[in-house]
Amino acid sequence: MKYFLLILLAGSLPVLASIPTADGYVLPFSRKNYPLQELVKDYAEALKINVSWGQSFKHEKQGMDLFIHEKTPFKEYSSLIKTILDGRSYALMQSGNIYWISNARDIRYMATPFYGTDLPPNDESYGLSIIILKYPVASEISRNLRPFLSRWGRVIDFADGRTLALVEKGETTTQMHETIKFMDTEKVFKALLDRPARDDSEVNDPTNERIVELELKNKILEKKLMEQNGPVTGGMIK
Amino acid sequence: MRTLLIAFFISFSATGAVFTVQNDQIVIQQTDFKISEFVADYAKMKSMNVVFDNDFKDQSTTLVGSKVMPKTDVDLYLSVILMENGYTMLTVAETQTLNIVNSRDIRYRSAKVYKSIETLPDTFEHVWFIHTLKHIPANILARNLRPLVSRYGRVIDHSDSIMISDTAKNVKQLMNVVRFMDTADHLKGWEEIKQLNEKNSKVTIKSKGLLEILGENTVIFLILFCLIGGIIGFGTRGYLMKRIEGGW
Repeated sequence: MKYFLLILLAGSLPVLASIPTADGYVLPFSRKNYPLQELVKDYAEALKINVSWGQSFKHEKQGMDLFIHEKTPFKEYSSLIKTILDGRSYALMQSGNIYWISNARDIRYMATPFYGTDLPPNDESYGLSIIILKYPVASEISRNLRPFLSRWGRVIDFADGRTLALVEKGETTTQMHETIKFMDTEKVFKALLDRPARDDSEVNDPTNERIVELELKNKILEKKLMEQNGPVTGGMIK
Repeated sequence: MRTLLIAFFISFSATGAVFTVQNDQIVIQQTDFKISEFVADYAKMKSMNVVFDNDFKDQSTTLVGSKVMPKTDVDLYLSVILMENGYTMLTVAETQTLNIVNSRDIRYRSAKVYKSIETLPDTFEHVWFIHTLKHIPANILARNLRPLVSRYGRVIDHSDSIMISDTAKNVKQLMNVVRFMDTADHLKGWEEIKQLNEKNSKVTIKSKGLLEILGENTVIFLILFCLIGGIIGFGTRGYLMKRIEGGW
């Protein structure tokens, strides 16, 4: 009975943070097959913050190996956690004292920290920053920047032609700021003025419109037939 | 001893409240809890009634860390867990009722209307916000803001005002952008771009070659062909006649 009581009492004792910390630093440690939920839990307990998550993160099963060889300040450890989460398509969001883990793809629907014309922190956290250009080349720059943005990053050019809004990770935004400096020049602006208007007569050709219309009709017929007779195997419906 | 054991088991098995209030702070008792349980405790704390939409599916959420937060943060925390699970809250002040609705249905519901950014709550609950612009045309601004609104948010332009239906946090963010855009400089830039575009479109029209115009208009081409043919024919005939008659 005594032992049974002791086991019960031991189980009810508060669980101590399993990452070693001292004076705002995370001390060296290593963990193999570290579950993601436990990683965030230990991080929250070490920094004495509240982190919340929903169903999708709860069911994240894949663990990871983590080796901290140096004494790491909390700020750097936070950046590390954000990078790890970003690698698994999650983002650590913050609003006031509340932290939560969200799917990275949902960032676009959420209010992220607003940095105005200042540079955001150089890490994996998302933020909205405004870039004011010298020349009215915003539309051209936004089109050229898109291939270099992260998966869920966005760039929007405003009607005045001189303002860009960038919803991106801090590190990518910093990188984009540097790239934009090379694109926001008088030479680019003049080249844009001289560029002939794009010839879209082929795209707007009535024959093309007719082809699209016929393809759509064909798709509808195909769907109707599939509903009636099951899937069609091979051959086109004419 | 037996009594102690029973008391111990009771303390473990009791489901109890999700959080308790202690000196302007809330202490969350459980790591995993149902959203409905948290909402029930929240409503109890605020002395409000709660109505869940009929398609509300209760899900569990996890909270780790200190599990202690200021009482003032509880509104924000509730709005976060609701948002993360696809729900939002609407407060009806008259009846002291908290409605938990599906975020996608927010467009069919009426939310509280705000006109000043200072009075907006600092949460993710859905609100209506009306803002009168000083410089930039409302339709231009609304078009530029649309990519920044949330999934179920909307921006509508009306005369010199914009109306935003979105989460309060997102409205604040949009208003930060509006502050950058609704300026005399921005308007000047927009007018400059408009003029440039008009000028460019004129250049494009002028640069259309004569042959291209003729290719598009077959009738004009035929008339011109006949005219030129006639002139050349008459000219040749006159020249030949003069040569034969020996005038030159």
